[in-house]
Amino acid sequence: MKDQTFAMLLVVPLLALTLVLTIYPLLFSMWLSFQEQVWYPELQYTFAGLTQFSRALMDPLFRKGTIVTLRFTAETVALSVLIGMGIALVLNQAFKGRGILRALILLPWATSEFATGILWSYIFKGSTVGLLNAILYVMGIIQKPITWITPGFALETASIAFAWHMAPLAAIFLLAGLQFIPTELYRQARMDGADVFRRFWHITLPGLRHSLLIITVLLTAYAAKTIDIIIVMTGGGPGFESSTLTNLVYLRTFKELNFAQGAALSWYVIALVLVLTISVFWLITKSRRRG
Amino acid sequence: MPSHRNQVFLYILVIVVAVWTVAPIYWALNLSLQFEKTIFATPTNLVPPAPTDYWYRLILGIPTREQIIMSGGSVGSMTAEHVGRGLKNSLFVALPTSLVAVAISVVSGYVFGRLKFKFKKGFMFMLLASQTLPPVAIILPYFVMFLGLGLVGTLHGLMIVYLSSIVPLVTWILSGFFAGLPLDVERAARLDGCGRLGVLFRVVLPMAAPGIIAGWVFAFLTAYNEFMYSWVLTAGTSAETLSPALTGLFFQDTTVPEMSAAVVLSLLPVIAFAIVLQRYIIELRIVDPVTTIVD
Repeated sequence: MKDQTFAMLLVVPLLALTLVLTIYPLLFSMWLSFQEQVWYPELQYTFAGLTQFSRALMDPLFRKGTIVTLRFTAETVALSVLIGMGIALVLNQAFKGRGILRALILLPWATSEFATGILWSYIFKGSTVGLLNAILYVMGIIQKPITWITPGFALETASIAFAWHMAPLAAIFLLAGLQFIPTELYRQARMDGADVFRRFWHITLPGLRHSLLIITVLLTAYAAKTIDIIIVMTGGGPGFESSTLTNLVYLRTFKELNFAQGAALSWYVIALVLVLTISVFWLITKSRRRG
Repeated sequence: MPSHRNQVFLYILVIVVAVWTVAPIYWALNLSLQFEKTIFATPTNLVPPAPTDYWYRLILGIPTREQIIMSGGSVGSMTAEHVGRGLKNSLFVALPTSLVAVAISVVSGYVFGRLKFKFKKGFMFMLLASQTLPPVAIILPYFVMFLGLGLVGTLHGLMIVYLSSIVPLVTWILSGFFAGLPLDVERAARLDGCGRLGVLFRVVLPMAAPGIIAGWVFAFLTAYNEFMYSWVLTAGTSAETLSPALTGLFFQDTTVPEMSAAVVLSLLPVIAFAIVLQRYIIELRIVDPVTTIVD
């Protein structure tokens, strides 16, 4: 049997499954987004062209949601990569108890997003029931508990929680990358008198370039499409200060039951996630061709 | 070379990483082992002054004598019903889903990782693209479709949705893993007259076992931890899984210690899973999907 036939034989059922279960919902959503929804006297749909899409564009919450999504994505990706890098660099050293630490750092990743949200909302609670306030109070830094869920900081509490959940994934990838860097390079650099920062900058970072880009793609897609943490921790509030696009879709579809508008908004979300992911993906391909 | 100072510095970093990782889980544990009286003291106790298993007993339905006497015999809470049922449902969905997903993905992952064929890049890109779909954006069509099929509020319905999103992901992971295995053994077996499927099952699968276990862990965790689909498809029904159950309780202002105990309980299976299988999870690093596409 030829590779081609064998491959098709095995892959076609999988593709059929994925197609039916993905394409059908997409087509339905596409149809819905071109309708106008009338509730009275009964639920009815009439063709409305691009009305829903232009209505979404005029919606101030849509613009706000786009900015919030971009901010959330940028913050979480940056934080996760930084923290993941830190964890990977520590784990790459030889020390007693390394095995234990390696098992430990997997816990946040194994914790679900909504449980992460609940755990972190107990850290950012606005009384000393919150860990952060409790510690600051015990250390004598504050006399009164700080409210963290404010218009300016609510989204950041969610970003930090999401980074806690995602950093281990980054750490796993980066740790793998670190192990491919020849130790000979470090020895040489040390002999040439390069200090730890220069070694990091000139050997570690270039060596990790590929791993860094891969993890950035994955994290970008995850962060841009997430909703669990936002729903659990802030509910998009206060007001709409931390309302991502996904949260707006949820609000319109399931709280206001405006299915058509929800569907149109969904397409903007899908487009945004795809554009973000593909642009990072494209960057990788380009950098690989060059390197 | 001040290597002693370096060593101290390294251990400080190790402690920082450990604290950052464990603190949120520790805090929930701390809150769950206290009564509200000590939690709402200012400042809150950083360690439980007199650890109690009251909340765990309440949720698990193992009341103490005092509880039975105090409540006149009827012990139980809303948390107990929801978390108990949710835990059972979640395991009932996650275990079979992850096993089926891995069985399918082993074959498709092998094909993508090992064979050269037309449209491979296109197919792989489709698998990746399907992963970027935000659940919240496609859940409504699923809901309508499942309403027609009578699958809303059933565990089967949830399994189908999970399979459709987990299979592409695990296929992707395993293809990266298969691509990294040495080709020689496989070629030798083929020359010795072993058929295609024979090679797959007798030669390739045993070599790939660690990666397959890693894929299974990944599939299990994804199914167990999923939120949006289960929230829309099962919340409030008898098929309610753990995520909608916990989230519902959280929104209904369940008391802090009871909620904390519920969250800690919900984490036990995944923590056990992660620790027991950690050496396989590290295998996930072999996943380099982008390279497989780009090369």
